[in-house]
Amino acid sequence: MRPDRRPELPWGTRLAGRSRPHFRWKRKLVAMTYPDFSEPASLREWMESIPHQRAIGFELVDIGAGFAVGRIPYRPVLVGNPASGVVHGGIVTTLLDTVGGMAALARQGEFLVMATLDLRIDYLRPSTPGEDLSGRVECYKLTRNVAFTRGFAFNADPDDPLASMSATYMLNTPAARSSPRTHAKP
Amino acid sequence: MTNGTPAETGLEAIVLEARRVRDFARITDAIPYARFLGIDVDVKGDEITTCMRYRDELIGNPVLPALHGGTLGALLEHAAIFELLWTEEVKPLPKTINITVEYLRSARPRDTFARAEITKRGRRVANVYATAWQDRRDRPMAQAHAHFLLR
Repeated sequence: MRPDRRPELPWGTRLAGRSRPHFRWKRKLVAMTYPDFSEPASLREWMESIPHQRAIGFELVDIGAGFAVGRIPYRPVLVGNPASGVVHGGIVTTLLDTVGGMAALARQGEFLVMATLDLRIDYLRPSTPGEDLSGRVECYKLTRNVAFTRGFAFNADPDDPLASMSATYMLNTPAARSSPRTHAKP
Repeated sequence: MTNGTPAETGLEAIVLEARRVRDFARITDAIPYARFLGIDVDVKGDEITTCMRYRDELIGNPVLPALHGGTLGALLEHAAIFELLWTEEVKPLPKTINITVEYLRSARPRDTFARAEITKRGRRVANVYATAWQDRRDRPMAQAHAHFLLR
């Protein structure tokens, strides 16, 4: 957190652990800005409020125990090769990055601030021109700091994948925030 | 991502013509997704820099705010493909086999630049390394390693 965003405290105020005002302030920020995870409608509304998701027409199709499914309807602006009408690989990256993040949230069961650490995509075949792009990603391991995900992108048939992905995300979990430092300061 | 249908000779012809007249805009104008992201290319001698101009539609995290990670991946993939198209005689168009993107910093709402370098060009496969940065090139936002099938 940037120091200039911290709420003003009277000089000499001593408060312990998680009850310190800036923690409460931070939790309040999350509650204000991020959706209630138990409400799929609120989640969809939040996804649509993100400018890039709206621009590409991303839809959250399903979200459950440790997995998420998303879809991007076919649109001519997403095409990478005008002669064949195949969508660009970059849009597959965007889809799987987004769905992977949602899968990590689904496994945690609450909203978390996270950042993609790395993302690998293997292109198995070209996307079929004119068909929607879907992605299903599962989060198969969640630690205090890292979410490990893997998944596939496909057109209509989930058994005929067009790309596979594996990605890791750094998480800002309550456990990571409250855990003692493992590396001692010199 | 391309497939090997005869119809794609359209883009190949555009690439050859763009190289002949040294006008990269012909290639970016021909790719709808590159136009959608606001990508243009700056050519200086044999070096090309791919630029993604900032637009509000690229925002992925309105709270920070930061650009969407997927747009950075797409920019790096564009930069890698453009490097192959511009500096190597590739025919047919290169197909992406895989790409690994490492995110180093969150990308601020500004113009983003990317440059790629061909680590190795084999007969069938090319290995390409690309980095993306914003204000300072020594503080990259993301980097990528990609493999492309050349025939």
